[in-house]
Amino acid sequence: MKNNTKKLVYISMLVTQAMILSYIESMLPAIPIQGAKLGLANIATVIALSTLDFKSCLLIVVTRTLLTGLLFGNMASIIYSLTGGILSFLAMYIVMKLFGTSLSLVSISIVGSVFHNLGQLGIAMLILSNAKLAILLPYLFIIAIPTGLFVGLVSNYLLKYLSKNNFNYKNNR
Amino acid sequence: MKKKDLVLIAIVVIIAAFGLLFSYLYSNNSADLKVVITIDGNVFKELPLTEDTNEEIRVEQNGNVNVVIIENGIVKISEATCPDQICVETMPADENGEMIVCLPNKVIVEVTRND
Repeated sequence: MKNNTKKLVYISMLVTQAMILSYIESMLPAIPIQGAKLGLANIATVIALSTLDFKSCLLIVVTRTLLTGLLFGNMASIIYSLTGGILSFLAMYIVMKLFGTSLSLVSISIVGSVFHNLGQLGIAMLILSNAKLAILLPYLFIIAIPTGLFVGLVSNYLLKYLSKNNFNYKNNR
Repeated sequence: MKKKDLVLIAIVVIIAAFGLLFSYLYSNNSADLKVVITIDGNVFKELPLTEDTNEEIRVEQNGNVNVVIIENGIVKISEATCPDQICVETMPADENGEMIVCLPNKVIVEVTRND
């Protein structure tokens, strides 16, 4: 990496962006299903995945969930969003590795959204020790489509702009 | 959007449809229902869910309160001290298997069969 400082600034910028987006999302009305979320902060993760290496992406995901949790949430919300965040990140990373450019960012973020919801529901099942929560699963899958679509489309536009301005640290997209 | 994106969306929809079908079959027999309220996995109260049950229950623990209302054969949470208020926004439940969850207060209101 020739330009380490620029990369560091870029990473911090994505973390900040994700935090602001989480804050904005917390002011919007919530989706009335436990575990479902619009996931605006996922825009930063999707952008990171398409422009940075695995380590930096993981760094962004963990930092932004911890910081957002400490600033606007509590211990419980940190556990929920950390599980959801890391699970959705890993799922998106694997799908991206497997399918490369044959899937657009829309699909990637739908997968991310599905696994984010799965992670949150899984943790809820553990914490509340109630396996019947699985009844919410189909709703979470359906909700994941519009939210993933939105995040994917926004990321597409943002990514176009970023690649024009040489913010790409990876050449697979 | 590419062709494979639509395939992926279709797969997600199909999985969800199967899930809904399954939960519909599971809930189908709505003869004799009851409401089970649990706090953090422990049963707090069980009540019958019929057309003429009229109850207002204060579910209180560690200063967290959820007000559960049973009337006209449906159950809902009318008030809660949780920050996200998702449980209050959730649709009222009246079928077997339906549940209203309040994650911050660890309260689950569940409709199940009486057997």
